[in-house]
Amino acid sequence: MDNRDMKLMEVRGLKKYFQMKSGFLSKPHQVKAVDGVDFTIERNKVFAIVGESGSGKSTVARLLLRLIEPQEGDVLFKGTDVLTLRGDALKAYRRSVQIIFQDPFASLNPRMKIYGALSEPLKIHKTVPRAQFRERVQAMLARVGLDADAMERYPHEFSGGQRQRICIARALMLGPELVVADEPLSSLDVSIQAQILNLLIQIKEDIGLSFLFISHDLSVVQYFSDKIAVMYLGRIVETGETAELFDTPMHPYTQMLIESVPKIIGAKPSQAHQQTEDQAADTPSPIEIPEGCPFHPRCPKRFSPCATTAPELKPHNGRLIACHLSV
Amino acid sequence: MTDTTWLLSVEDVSIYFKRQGAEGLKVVNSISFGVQRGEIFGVVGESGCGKSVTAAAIMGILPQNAYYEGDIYFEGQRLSSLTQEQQRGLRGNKISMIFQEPMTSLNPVLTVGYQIAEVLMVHRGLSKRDAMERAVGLLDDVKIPSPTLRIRDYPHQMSGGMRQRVMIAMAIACNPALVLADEPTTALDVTVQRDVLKLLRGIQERFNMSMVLITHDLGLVSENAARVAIMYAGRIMETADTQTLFKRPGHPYTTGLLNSIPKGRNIPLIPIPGFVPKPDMLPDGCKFSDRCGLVEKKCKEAEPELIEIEPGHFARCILTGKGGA
Repeated sequence: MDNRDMKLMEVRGLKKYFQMKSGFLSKPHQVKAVDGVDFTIERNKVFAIVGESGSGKSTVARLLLRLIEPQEGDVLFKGTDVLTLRGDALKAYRRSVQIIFQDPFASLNPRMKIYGALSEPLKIHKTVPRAQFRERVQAMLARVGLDADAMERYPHEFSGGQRQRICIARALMLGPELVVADEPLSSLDVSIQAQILNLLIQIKEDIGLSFLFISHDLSVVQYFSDKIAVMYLGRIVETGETAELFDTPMHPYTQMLIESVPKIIGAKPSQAHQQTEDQAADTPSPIEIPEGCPFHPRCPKRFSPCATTAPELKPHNGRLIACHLSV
Repeated sequence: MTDTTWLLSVEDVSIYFKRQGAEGLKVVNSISFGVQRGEIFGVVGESGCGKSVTAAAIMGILPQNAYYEGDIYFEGQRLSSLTQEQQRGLRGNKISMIFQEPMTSLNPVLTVGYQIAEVLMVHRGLSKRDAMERAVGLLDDVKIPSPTLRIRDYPHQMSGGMRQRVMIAMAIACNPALVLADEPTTALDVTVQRDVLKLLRGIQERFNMSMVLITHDLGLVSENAARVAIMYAGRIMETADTQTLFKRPGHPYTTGLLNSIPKGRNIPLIPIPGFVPKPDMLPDGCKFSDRCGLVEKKCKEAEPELIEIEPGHFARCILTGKGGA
């Protein structure tokens, strides 16, 4: 491993537009799911992307894994252009970058025993001789906190938390350098989320993994990540070190996100909410991205340039922010 | 008890699912709680704890293969003594419900306006024209912009937050005394959740409605409910006013839940070990004993009662009050 270069993955100007047909005779239109995104994932760090539905965060994950192809942009993994990889080189890349999905019920084949699910990557990539499969699977199950007898059982015999452990084990079978975790906790109960989160932290420390962690849950992201990018309608609006970003969120959207999370301590019942709210804004949709700053229709601090000019992501106090207020 | 200070009173209710060739599977075990007029009562628990099925029992919409024992009183009337006809008169009228997933609980082939109007036609006997007019007013109440236009929308034309507002409009159409809100914002993004709750709170206060807020989100309950019950394995493990419960949790499960939520970068997470047991595989004695860090031998011997550990604060734990939790 090259220790001089801390950059594991570099993403530049990434764009993904989907064509959408809305009706029988209407013209197809474009959905700008990801519209020019830049970031860098460093070695042994957790880089988080937070955003609400439609922000494009899962599309970014799929682009990096080359499950879908972008319109424009570069993805460099250890300096190599990922988007032009083919054949064996692509296969090798896929060994190094693995994914954990949100729903552990949908991402395990119900008719395959756990041994089959975990040995399949070894079979496909032929990284170890077949005689060692069992040993490898057993060791990986132990690492994620499951007994060896899990191998002979089917996914339905496990709870949601256990299935997510199995998915984590599967992602680690090939010894990846980067794991993309797309909402890995969202379908789990509160008491189980903490278990899985602690497991991810332990694995990260044990084997020196890097993570791209995609989540809508700010408290989880605050706990787990080193750096954060906040996405809104296909663009990054703010990015910086996690601790700093939570201490002093600068983009109005980041502020709104952090304030919106219900807090346990300091509850003020009854008079907490007065009925002074404005009319509901339609949740923004990537189908109709507003002119100018995409956040301006919901922004409490909007002023004259916001409706017409889209702010660029610029350095501001050691962070990158896309807001006309931070110039 | 038919004390009318309680708008809703759930007394010793157990809920069963019928099984072929076996006795009913008990999913809720003898729970009791009351909701006062104008109060928000929170019910917190993880999946399978029985919180949603409790709401279904109150609403009288338990699935065909389920039944309950015990008594549910609404405005002093025992619900099980009402005829089907009388119960139908309450549902959607004096007691209404908001479900988690607005896409599956709205009819996709009817306009949202008609769906709101239907409630008024059924329960208030309004003509279609009057009901539609009232529906416009209700959409305005739930802060949907240009209600006269949106009334003709079908559910798929609206965003998730808008659909949930339509659900709220339907629920409040007849000025209900009680709204059962079952995970009303779980499907929504945080910023939308905040707006929808603000709206719900505004309406609740304006009409002095009572609400049972069912959720897995401790933060949501903490910010909104006056009193709260924590459920686990079909039982109420702890109940108190919200402030007390979060400041001085009296049950190890409550403490465990609170410790499972990330609070900041440098505060370590202490998860609850194990997993939520299925209702037919509960441990002996205290139902939390197999996951509890403080478990003692006598926890396995008999299931503890709900004990009042301070005025109005009950916990189902034999260790509480002895520095246990």
